[in-house]
This record gives sequence, structure tokens and C-alpha cells, in this order.
Amino acid sequence: MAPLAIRRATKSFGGFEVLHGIDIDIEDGEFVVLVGPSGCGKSTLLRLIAGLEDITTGEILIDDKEVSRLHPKDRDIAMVFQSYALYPHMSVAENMGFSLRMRDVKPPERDRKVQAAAEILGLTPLLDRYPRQLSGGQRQRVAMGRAIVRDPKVFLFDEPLSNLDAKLRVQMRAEIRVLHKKLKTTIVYVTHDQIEAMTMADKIVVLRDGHVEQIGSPLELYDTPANAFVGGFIGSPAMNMLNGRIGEGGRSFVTDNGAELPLAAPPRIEPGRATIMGLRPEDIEIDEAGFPAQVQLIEPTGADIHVNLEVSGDVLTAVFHERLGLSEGQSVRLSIPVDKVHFFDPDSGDRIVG
Amino acid sequence: MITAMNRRMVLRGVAPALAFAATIAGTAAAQDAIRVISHRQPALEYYTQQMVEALPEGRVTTELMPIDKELELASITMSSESDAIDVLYLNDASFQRFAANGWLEPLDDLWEKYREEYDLDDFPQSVIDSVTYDGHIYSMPILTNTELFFYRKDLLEEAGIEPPETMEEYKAAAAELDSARTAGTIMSLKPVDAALNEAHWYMNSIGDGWFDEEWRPIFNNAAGVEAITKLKEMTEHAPRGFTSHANDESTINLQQGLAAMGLQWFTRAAAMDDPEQSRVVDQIDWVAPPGGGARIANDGFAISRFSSGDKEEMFRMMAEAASRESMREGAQYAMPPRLSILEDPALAEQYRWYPAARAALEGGKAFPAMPDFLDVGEIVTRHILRAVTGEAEVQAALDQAAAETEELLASRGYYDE
Amino acid sequence: MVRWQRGLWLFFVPSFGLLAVVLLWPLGYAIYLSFFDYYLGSNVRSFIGLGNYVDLLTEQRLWRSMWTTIVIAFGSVGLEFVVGFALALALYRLNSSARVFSVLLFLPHIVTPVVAALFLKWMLAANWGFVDATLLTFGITPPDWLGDPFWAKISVILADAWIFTPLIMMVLYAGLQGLDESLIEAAQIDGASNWRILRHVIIPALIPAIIFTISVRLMDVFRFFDIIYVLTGGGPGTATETITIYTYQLGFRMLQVGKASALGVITLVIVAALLLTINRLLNSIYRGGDR
Repeated sequence: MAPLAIRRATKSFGGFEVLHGIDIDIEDGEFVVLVGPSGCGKSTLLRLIAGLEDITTGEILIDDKEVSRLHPKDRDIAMVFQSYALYPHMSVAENMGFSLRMRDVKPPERDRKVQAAAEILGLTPLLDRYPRQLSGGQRQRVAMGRAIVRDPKVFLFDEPLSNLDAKLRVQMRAEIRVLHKKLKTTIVYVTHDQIEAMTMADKIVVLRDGHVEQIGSPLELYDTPANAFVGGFIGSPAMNMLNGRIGEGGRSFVTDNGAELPLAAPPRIEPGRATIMGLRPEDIEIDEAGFPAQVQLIEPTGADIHVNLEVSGDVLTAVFHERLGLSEGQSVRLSIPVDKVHFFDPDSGDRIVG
Repeated sequence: MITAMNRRMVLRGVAPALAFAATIAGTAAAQDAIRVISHRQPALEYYTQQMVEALPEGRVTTELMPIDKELELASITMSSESDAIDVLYLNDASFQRFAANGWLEPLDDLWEKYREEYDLDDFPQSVIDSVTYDGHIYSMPILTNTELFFYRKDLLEEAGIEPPETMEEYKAAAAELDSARTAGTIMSLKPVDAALNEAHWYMNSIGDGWFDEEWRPIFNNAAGVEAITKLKEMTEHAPRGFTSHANDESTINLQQGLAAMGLQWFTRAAAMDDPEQSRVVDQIDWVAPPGGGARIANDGFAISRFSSGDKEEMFRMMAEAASRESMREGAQYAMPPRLSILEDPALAEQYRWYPAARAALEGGKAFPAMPDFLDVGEIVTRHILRAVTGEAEVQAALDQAAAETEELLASRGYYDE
Repeated sequence: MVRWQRGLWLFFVPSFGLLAVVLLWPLGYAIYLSFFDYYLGSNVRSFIGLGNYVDLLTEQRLWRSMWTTIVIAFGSVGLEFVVGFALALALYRLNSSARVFSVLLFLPHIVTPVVAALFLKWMLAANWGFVDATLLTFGITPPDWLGDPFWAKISVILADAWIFTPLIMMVLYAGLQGLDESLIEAAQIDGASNWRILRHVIIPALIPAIIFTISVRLMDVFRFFDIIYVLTGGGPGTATETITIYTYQLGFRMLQVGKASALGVITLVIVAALLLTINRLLNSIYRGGDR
């Protein structure tokens, strides 16, 4: 385990720059998730850390040592691939012991380490099996076991759960968290699934188009997204975004479609300024004294109901946890708690503090 | 419904097929020129050209190729009784084989018919004997060929060496003149024909010959082993690649000054003085092959028994090519087997190699008179080469050759009582 | 499932008829002839039962030709496999420029073997061939490529390799394309050097393709004819006389059709046995892993 720092990293393929000046600081033992939409550069960044791609400019420091010119095997990292990348003609034990074999570690010690790693992951009965005889989850564990055996400074995970079904994914998420607690190794984890990010990370890095949008703990990102993109990315269903401006006296928000949404407290934004208002679906409440809306669509999930509500031409998604007995076409009244409203600048997307 | 459709389709297919077939047949019919195949050497180039000129234009097509290929082509064609070949060149060895197989057309009647017109009595009896098999004439004699000993008189004079008369002198001279640029001697050891000729010389001058009276091989006796051993030793002074050198390659070697001496055919002598091909014009001289025993051949052209053309026309074509005028001209390439020309003293004056040729005729020896000698040659030359290249000991190689030869001749009925 | 109808077998007749005429009848005739002593010149056929086979199997020349065949076969296949594999790996690394190179490298294979052999013969001809002429100008005396028994074998092996290496290269290159890149990356991270990646990751993944190419080429090379015939004719002596060349000698030079047919049958048996062995080997290695 070691701290990991990325300083002003850029990456270009040919003349095409895909990562523009990335700065990330990761502490020793932290579980950091790199998250973002497809093409944002998260996998590329991970491969830069691993050494599978060459960094164009900038530095990567593992344990305060500059490693960007080093070969992957000299960086003391281990990687778990999306496709597991298990050697098909070797047994589980041989797969896990391969890196030790490459370092000319003798069989007795090699076996010991493999046994230890296998025990941690519950793989001991499978040591003589071959990858094609294992299920997806078992293969995933073997891939992790292969990484653990190396006792590296940093673990790298490249979307490891994408190939698993939903239930298994939930289970594996927990297992990886448990593993992290046990080994206390620094982990850098790439995923496109923001739920994984939220549930597993100590720190999340949101990336878009090769830029870092925001770095923070899950709750920080949830409560105070730095811009409209992060706001809309984190949280499911996504945050509702309304275009409009602050009304007279700061008492309401007027949407471009003319709806007037009363605000509990005046924000520190001048009235008339064009603003985007962000509302999380779970923050919307049914309130007899609130603004009118019409129920468009109801989707019950069992645990809650997702309701699409039309407010003068804008459509809001709301999530309610009680069985309200709503029907489509029904008129209701809604309100928003004062501290749960987010404002963003329409041009830059940045959060407006207020 | 189906039957009607089928009938129409068949008819539609048949009509063009017939038209196509007719065109092919038509072209084929127009193409029944006389096809002549021959070994390729200067004399035969001349004589086949005479054949082409003997008949109206387009009546004769000729194909010349190295003799092994020509014989292979002829064997395959005639063994399947095809009419693809009309007239072919045969030397004495192959002639026996083809006649014995019944592949040649007997020429006795045509010979009688045209005896006066083409003065066919001008051929000496020994020559006629050589084209006779089992009492019938099968071939029109075209040339007598002997192996001569070629040497660079300038190089020998410079080194103070006399033209060799024995095999030892030959070896000494070759060793003396062997240098990086010029090999001591040519050697033609490509199977089958060339290698057999070269081996024949050694086998006769050093060995005891090939067979005894009962056609049992004797070439693997002590003398035969010594002969081939000497042959192997001589290859030390031969140009590289000698295992694939036939007459063409050896001639070029002499012409280009890449070798100083060696055994080659009379028919290649004129080429030495050809300014367009040779760098050693007027520098080559000839004697009879040292030690004697080199090959004499009587070559001719025969008509295939399976030919579908007009055999009389073919005979007349061959007779024209073998006429006195034609042979007078051809004397520069090969010895014409006509008495009237051979006895002409002007020849010796005109062509520098004639004296050597006459001497060679006296000391030379034809191949054993058996139809299967070329097949024996297939076996023997392979094994001789194994000995020469060092793959086997000389004695062992010759013993194996003898064993296979006996097996072959036994299967051909030579030892039946 | 096709419902069986009356007369369905009639549809087999044309194809089967063609196969019978082109394949079965000549084969049957050859087997029939092999029991006769048949000299084509005299057209006399006499039944000698297994005489030809006995003669051949007790003949030194036959066993020598078999040994020559084995030497040339394994020499050729070994060489073209190693070089082909190396080239395939090189192409694999090159990526974009690979396409141009792969076309160029494939050219020797497009040419007919006979033409390629003729071309090589002129290159290797003693003294005035291209290779010799070049070496001689530098003062190096080259060996007699086609006339020395040892070098003649080498020349034949090189000729076959020159013509067929591109094929192996192509098959293995295609196999490499199907390789999972992340396996190689995982091995790199695990600390494997390039050699070890080759040994532990690439070769095991390519085993099916490797077995395929080697077995196909081995079978082909046992029936080798055109290249040897043009280059050396089986010579010098019998240095490059393989079984097929010897069969040719018997059949077309000595016109011993019966004996040649017998040798043909023997060759057939050998190649069939080879095929079955390789097939079994292939199955056990490949399938065996499929537990």
C-alpha cells in the first residue's frame, strides 16, 4: 500500500489528446473510484497508471517514486481486468502463482502465498480447476487472487463487475469492500456505474471528456455537485434540471415555460439572471400548499414509486417511498425543501453558491 | 411440363456444343503437319532445318530438346500408342530399345523404292547395320558422331605439355592447368546420357567394359572400380556444378575459357570457332581421346509406327535431309555417314578436327548392342554419381548398380535359356 | 431432418460417379497393376502377386529414399514453421504497416511451385547463377548448391520453405488476431519477459493453429515432387531422391509400371498412417483439454 499521485497528466494518441491535465492525489490505503460516461478517459487513465500506455506529459508517483517511465512489472501494481484475463491453459493455482514464477520464486514459497490468497477469497477447493470450469464470479475471484498474491502497492480494477449479472454484482461489490478492509491496500477502481462508485468508494473522481469534473467523497458529490454534469451523473434517477431564472424578490424560480416554483428561502442570486435549477427526484414532496403539477406516468418498483410529473411544459421525475395511490392524469401539488435545491450557471455548468 | 422443359434445355445445350466441337475438329484437321522431335545440338539443328525446307512451308514442325527429355517424351508417347509424334531422332542406344519395343515403322519397302533416287547405297554397310534391328531397317542414318579430346593448345604450349595420349597424362595435364579461373578439365556427369558417355570412356580405357558375353555386368570388378575411382579423382579438376553438366554446359565451359580440355562430341567442334559464341576461336585443337574406348554413335531419324500421317512423305523428307548435297554442307557439324563424302580429302583441309575424328573412329567403341542399355544407364549413372559425390564408396556403389542391373535384365528376359 | 424419400440416392450418383471416375478407378487400377510385372516397352504383363512389394521393401534404394524424404520433410517443415511463426509475430506487432508487408511476403506463395523452382534453379546454378556470381565477385568460393549431396538437400529444403513459409505465416497471423490482448497485458504486469509471454501465453493459445499447419505441411511435403524434379531431378546421384521421385523414375524412366504402382500404394499407406497419427494426436491434445 502506498500513496498514488497523478500530476498534470496528459495522453495523446497520435495528434489527438484524450486526457487533458489530470491531477489526482490518492492517499495510502484509499479506495478511489474513477467514474464517468463512455469515452471520458477513465480506462485510459487506469492504463497509464498501470504502464500499459505511455504517458505523454506529466508524472505518476507511486509511493512518492516517479514511475511513468517504468515497465508495468516494475511498478509494483496488480490489475484485475474486465475480462479477467485468466491464462486458459493453467490451473487456478498456476494462474495465481504465475507472477511469482516470473520472479523466480521457488515452489514452496510460491505455494504458500497462493494458499494464503486462496484462503482469503475462498478459492481453496478450486485450486486445481481450470478457468473454463469456473463460473463468472469464481473467475473474478481468481483474477483478484492473482492480484493479491503479488502483494502490490496499488490494486487496479478495470470495470471488473461489468460482465456479471445484477445479483452477483451486488454480492461481489460487498466482497471487494470486505477485501479492501482486510488488506488495506490502495485501490483505483474504474466503473461506468455510479451506484458502484457510490457504494464502494472512499473518494470518487468524476471524469468527462478527459477532464476531472470533481473529486470528493460520495456524499460530497451527492450533496454538493460542483457542476450540472456531476449533479446529473450522480444519483439515480438523475437530478431534474430546469431552465429558468430567479423570480422577483428571490421568492420563486420561474421556469422558461412560465411555471412558478416558490422557494422557501431567497438564494444569493440576483433575480432575472438565467439559472438552471437542479432538483433530486427523492427531494420532491407532495404538499397541499405547493405548486401544481400533473401526473403523467407512474412506475412502481415495489420499494418506491417513480412518478413523471408535468409542470407547465417541463417534466419532473419524483421518487416517493409511500404508496400514495396516485393515478395518471391526476393533479397534485409539490414542494421542495429549502436546502435541497441546487443552482447552476447555464453557460459554464458550474454550481452557483447560494 | 418437366419433360418438355428438359428437352428444350437439352437442345439448347447441344447446338452450341456441336458448333464448338466442329470448330475444334476443323482446326485440328488443318493442323496435321509432320511433327519432328530431336535432340538439340548444332548438327541436328542443321538437319532438322533441312527437313523443314524439304517440304512445302508449314508441313513440318520441329521441336528440339536435350536428349534425355526427348527420349522421355518419346517413351511416354509411344508406350501409350499415341500418334502425337511422327518422326524422332534416335541414337544407336535408344534406337535398339525403340525398335525392340515395336514402336518404329519398318522402312525396308520405302528404302528399296527410293534407293536410286537418293543414292542410298552410298551409306557404308556398318552404318546400315547400325540402323537395322532383327533384319529390318528402321532409321534413316543422319550422322556418325565420335567423342574427341578437346584441348587449349595455347595453354598446353605455354605449360610445355604435349597433348595427352594416356589417361595418366590426361590427369597430369588437367592437374597442371587447373586454376581458380580455369578448371583443368570439363566433365559431363549429368544423368543419364552425358554421365554414361563419360563413364563409358573410363570403363573401356581403364576398366574391362560393361558386360561379359552373357550380358552379366562386369563393371564392378577390380578394373571397373579403378576406372570409376579415376573418374572420381578427375572431378577434382572439373568446374563446379559438373554433376549437372551435359554437353551444352560443357561446350559453353570450353567456349568461355572456363576449362582447359576434356571429352566432347565431334558435333561440338565447329562451335569452338564460332566468333559469336566462343572466346577461344582458333585456340582449341583436337586429338583422339587418350586411352581410346570413347563412344562412337550412329544417329538417325525414325518414323513412329503409331503416326497417323503419310509415312511415304515423311520418308522422302528424311531422305532429302540425308541427301548428298545436304550432308556435304552438314559435314562441318558432324561426320556424314556417306562414303562419297568421307573419302573427300578437301574435308580434312577445310575442317581442322577431321584428322582427330578419323583417329577417334579407329580407337572408339560404341555402346553395348542391347536395347536396354539406356535403362541400365539410368541405374548405373545414379550410383556412379553417388560414388563421385562421396555418398558411397566406389566398390559399394558399383556393386549395388550391378545388382540392380542384373535384376533389371533378368526381368527383361536376358538370362532365359 | 430430411425426410427420406424414394430415389433420393439418385442425387448422389452424379457426384459419386465423378469421384469414382477421377479417384476410385485410377486408384483401383494402380492397386491392380501393383501385382504385375509390367514393362511398358514390351507391353507384357505377368502376374507376380506381392513380388513388387517384396522387391521394394528389401531394396536399399527404397529405404534410402524414405530416409531422404524424412530428412527433407522435417527439415522443410521445421524451417518454414519457425520462420513463419517469427514473421507472424513480427506482423502482429507492426499493426498498420502490416498489410503492405503481408502482401509482399505472400508473393512467393502465389507463384506456381514449378515456376518458383525454375527461378531458384537459375539463382543457384553453379558459377553463373545469381548467388554464385555475387559471391565470387567478393572472392568467396560458394559450395555447389545443386551438385553437392549435402547442399542439394539444403537447397531443396530452402526452396520448399521459400514457397510455403508465407502460408504458415498467414495462418498463424490469423490465429494471433484472435488472441485476447488483455492476456498479454496481464502477463506483462505479472512480470513476464517477451520470451516468457511467447511461451506461456501466445503459444498455448495458438496450439490448434500450430498443429493444423504442421500436420498439413508434413503430409504435403511427404508427397513432394515438382520442386525437387525441377531443381535437382533427385540428384546428384540419389541425394535428393524422395519416395515420389523414385516412383517417377520407376514409372516414367524405366517404364516399370507395376513396380511404380506398388511404390505408389506404399506411399499411400505411409501418408494415411501419418494422417491418422496426427489426427489422433490433435484430438488428444486439443480435446483432452476440453474436459
